[in-house]
Amino acid sequence: MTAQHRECDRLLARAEHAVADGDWDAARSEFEAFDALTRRHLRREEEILFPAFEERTGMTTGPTAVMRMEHDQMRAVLDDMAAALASRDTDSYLGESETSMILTQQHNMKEEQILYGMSDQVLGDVAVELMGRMDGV
Amino acid sequence: MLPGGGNLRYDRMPPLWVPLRAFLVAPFLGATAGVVVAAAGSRTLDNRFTGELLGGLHLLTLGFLTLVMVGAIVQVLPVVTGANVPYTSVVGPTTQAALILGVPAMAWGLARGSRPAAGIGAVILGVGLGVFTLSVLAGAWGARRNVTGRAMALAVVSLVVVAGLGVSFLAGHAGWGPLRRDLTDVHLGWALAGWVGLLVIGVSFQVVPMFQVTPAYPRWIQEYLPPALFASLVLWTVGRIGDRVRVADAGILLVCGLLGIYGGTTLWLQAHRRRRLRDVTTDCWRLGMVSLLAACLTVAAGVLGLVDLGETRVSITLGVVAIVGFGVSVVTGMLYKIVPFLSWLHLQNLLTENHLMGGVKVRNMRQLLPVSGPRNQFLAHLVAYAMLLASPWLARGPGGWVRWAGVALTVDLSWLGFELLAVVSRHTEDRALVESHLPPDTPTV
Repeated sequence: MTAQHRECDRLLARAEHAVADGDWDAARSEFEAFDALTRRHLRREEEILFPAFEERTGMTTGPTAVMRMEHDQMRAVLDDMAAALASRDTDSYLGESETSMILTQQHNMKEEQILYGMSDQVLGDVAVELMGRMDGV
Repeated sequence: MLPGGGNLRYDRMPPLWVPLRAFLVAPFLGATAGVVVAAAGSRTLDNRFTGELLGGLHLLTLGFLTLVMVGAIVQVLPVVTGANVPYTSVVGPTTQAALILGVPAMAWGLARGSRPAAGIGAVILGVGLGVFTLSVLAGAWGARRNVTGRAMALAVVSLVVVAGLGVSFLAGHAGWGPLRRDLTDVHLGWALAGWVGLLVIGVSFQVVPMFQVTPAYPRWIQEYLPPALFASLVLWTVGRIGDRVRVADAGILLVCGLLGIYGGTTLWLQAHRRRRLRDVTTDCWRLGMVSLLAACLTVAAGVLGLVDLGETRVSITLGVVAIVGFGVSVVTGMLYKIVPFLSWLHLQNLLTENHLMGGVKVRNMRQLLPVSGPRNQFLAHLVAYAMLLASPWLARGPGGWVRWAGVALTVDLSWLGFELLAVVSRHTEDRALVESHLPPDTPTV
């Protein structure tokens, strides 16, 4: 999951460079790859990891609730990035991209340092099965 | 971004103004350091211990750097490490208030030779920093297995040494006891390498990869560099106090070497950042790291007998490099990310809680803080830094150079303060827009 975070960072940076260079065709394909991978990653967590965590710990209003809320915010920024890309508005795209970058980074930091660690502890015995199910999303 | 408890709950997130109050006041408090230098002119730099220099220096180090760093610790520690800082909602504002009131009193006491003001400053700062260190150490103990939590804890232990010595010096200035000038370098070393250095190092393990999208710091640096730096400072101090020159020299060379490794690694990570668009925070951090390397090389050269660190002009120049070049640059870079992000996040939370996401359009981060302002302010910072560097060498020349350097520093930090105020002003406009879409009587935080 952490490796997917890094791959999303890489794709976001590539889309941003293409927009800054005015290469809108490349920007579109890079953004689409970033958008697809990010949304898939969010679904994997929301549909597989978080429910398993909540069931095992009984915590439904704790860390996973915050993560779900931030996922909604990340999807809203993705929509704004897509709109800026469609209208070829460089300033607006770079603003949304910067916002997305920091929102995502601080979100990833919480997941990688707190939630994933807690998940490893409470879900260690079913990790392989969960990873298999997440691959199917 | 940064809720107050270890459970990452938004209902524990402090109101925006709690962290912002410190971040907005700090630049202006720092700017008054420039006013002190501009008012006193070249006599500020007659020696290392003029009242104006000590007063101005502490407006910068406590009024600007420490005020921001204390706010950052209380906000960052729980989220990054999961540690629960006891009584956060009381400790944060109490410490901020102590600094905002105590630092000007202390600076006045030092700059004007006022014993009562120095005494009042000593009491307020002693109480405020005492409450802060106790609470944060209790929280950091729970986070000792986290690399950032550990570095922060060591930074706070360093602050205990710095503040303890500082309050005893102030008591000396107030006439309540002896003034132990022989311990000044110990105070300075723990302040710069311990408190500022360890804290910047610990925070950077998180925020350099996060805000600048670089690879992570190597694991061995995260694990071993902060405790090794702390141990080297202890070694140096034992050598200094026990008059064991070789032990002290070995300790300070280790400190320089470790800080040099950290600075060099950070520059290397920045050179390999995945996001290559020009960014003022990265510029600030580059300047900070180059200054850190320059300071380390100068101190090491002094230990090896190549430079006379006791010479007034050399020692003041070194202080400018470490405090303005390293400390102020790095903190400025951080504020340019944290303030717009916190402002943006609070608006988003307001939208999310009231199911208005997508329905009301609010500014993104670049619209909250357009890039041109910080870029120009960074140029003002470069000018102030260059003028302050030259000041000890041109203090005797005509033209009142030192006064103008003081003016440049005031412009530098006031400009930073106005840029941040503008972010909050735009945030307030957007907040009013969001609230206009809420049903009447909706409670908002």
